[in-house]
Amino acid sequence: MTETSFKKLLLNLEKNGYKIIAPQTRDGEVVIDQLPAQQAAAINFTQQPFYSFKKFFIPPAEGLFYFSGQSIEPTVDDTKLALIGLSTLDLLAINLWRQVFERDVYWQERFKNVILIGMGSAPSDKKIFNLWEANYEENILEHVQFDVFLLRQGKEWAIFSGTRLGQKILDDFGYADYQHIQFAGLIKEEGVDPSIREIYRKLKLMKPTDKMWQDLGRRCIACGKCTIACPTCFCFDAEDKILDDKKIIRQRCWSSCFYPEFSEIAGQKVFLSTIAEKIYFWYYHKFVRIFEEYSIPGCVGCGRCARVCPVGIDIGQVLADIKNNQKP
Amino acid sequence: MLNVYQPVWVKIKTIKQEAKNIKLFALEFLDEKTAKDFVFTPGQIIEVGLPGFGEAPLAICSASQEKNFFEIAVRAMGQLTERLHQLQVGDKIMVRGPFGRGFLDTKEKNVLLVVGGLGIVPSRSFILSQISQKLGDKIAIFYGAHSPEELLFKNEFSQWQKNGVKIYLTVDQKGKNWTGAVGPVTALLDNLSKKNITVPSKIIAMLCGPMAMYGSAIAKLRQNNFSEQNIYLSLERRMYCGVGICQHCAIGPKYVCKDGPVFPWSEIKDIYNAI
Repeated sequence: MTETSFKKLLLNLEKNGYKIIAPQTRDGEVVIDQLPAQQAAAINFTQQPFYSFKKFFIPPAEGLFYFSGQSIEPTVDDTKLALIGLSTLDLLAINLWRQVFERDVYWQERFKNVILIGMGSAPSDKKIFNLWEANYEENILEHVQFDVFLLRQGKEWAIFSGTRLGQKILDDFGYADYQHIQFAGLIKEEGVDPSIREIYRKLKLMKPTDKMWQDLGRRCIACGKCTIACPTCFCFDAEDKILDDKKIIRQRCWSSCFYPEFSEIAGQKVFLSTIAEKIYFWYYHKFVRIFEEYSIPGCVGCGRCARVCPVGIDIGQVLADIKNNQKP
Repeated sequence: MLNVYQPVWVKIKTIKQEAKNIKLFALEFLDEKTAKDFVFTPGQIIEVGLPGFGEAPLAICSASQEKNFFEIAVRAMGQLTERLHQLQVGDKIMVRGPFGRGFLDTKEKNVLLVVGGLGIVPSRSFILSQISQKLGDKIAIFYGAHSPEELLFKNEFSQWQKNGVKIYLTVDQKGKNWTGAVGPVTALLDNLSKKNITVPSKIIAMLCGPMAMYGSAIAKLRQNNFSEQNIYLSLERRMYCGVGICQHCAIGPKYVCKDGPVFPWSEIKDIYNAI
């Protein structure tokens, strides 16, 4: 596939009513936003965008119902999105959301209207945080779900389909030179990476009162930036708002376990009362609770949390410290 | 696809001022099918809401066998609950649920309920459900309130006792006419044998009350040879979704909304900050 034919593919999607959403450089920063298909060449898939694709799957504020008199009317969002330039890390986040929001009709309805076109560079031997393997895009591609994946190998593009929809898109477009990758489940044949298992095992035995977490609790300022930047943080609150036309909307909004009201109940009792408890809760959710629920970690290894942290807490270092913890 | 966030309307059938600031609402569904589908076990929670006021998780307090209506007890202490207190018979409220795991089905086992404050609300559902199965004589309840005026359902106590329920009350602050025990409800757990509460293998303790009560109650029950598996407790947490997604009610690897709110102590004793 050449740049010209790639542009044609996007034009074709646009013609079929899809909004093209892709990472692009603006004022020196990579942002993910709508992009006219004509500007396909401007897609920047080689640098990690500041924020992930999260908001297109889990909006910062999302209506659930409109109330008016006795009527309870579920909201409908049928926007068709073609998300272009997803990295394998973005696709790993989608793996997790698919599990978490399995019974969530709003997430599922939105996902039905989304086309996923991943993009990546040739295999690298990179280890995530120097802890677990993430090499060989082709091996990873069997364990994530996408419609089409464009893999750049030198100057060439190798094209893969991951779903029947992906095949249809490529067929309709008249592109025949692609291979199909059959989804082989979330977990690799050789099982979950031993580092992830060890982090899970050790973190589960730790407590927020341990020295490591007390030290982190003293550094962390509970600003919650990591939860906003994290592609897998999905906690939410719900609230009702009165709209101008006297209708009432019930919406859910991003929440953060670092905010004081997150764990507050009637009578001002707060369960996560220290910063050490909050930051422990954050790590515990990703590496223990999610791992027990879905057998995959709740972290894709993008490192955004470390990049936005105002006090320089580095997830790679925290995970290494958990792994090296001397408790049994 | 089923919408787990979709509430349904229920109509207020009766309202009773149960104590200062606490009202008891009997609610009925608008159609037979919804009523029939609403099956709960005592201890389970529902989300109660009003348009513009959001939702709050509340315990059901009526017998699970009652098919014509169900009851909730509401203390006015926030925007939603204060608004609920302004409503009249015939007005409508939104509900969703029930969610989670309630008290276990104890059948032939003896049950000691240790209840503080609003913990009486789900406990009453359990007591009435047992009575309707002629199992009232299997229950003893230790119930503590701040003051005699704050004891809920006191006009039902004689009926409970007629059905075999043994009731032991205590208050923190006695009023003029109070001749009963004064002190924390956990003090009633001292010298159990003198209260004719024997602790054979077939007795279960169910704790329902403020978190502050649980540590001392569990320690005393353990001293009285209740095993960790035979101590059940109901936890309270902030909740939005009710189905284990929003994370507000997470404790360790579990969700209070989905895996609880009732847990055997053996299941959560190692979880940091569970109580």
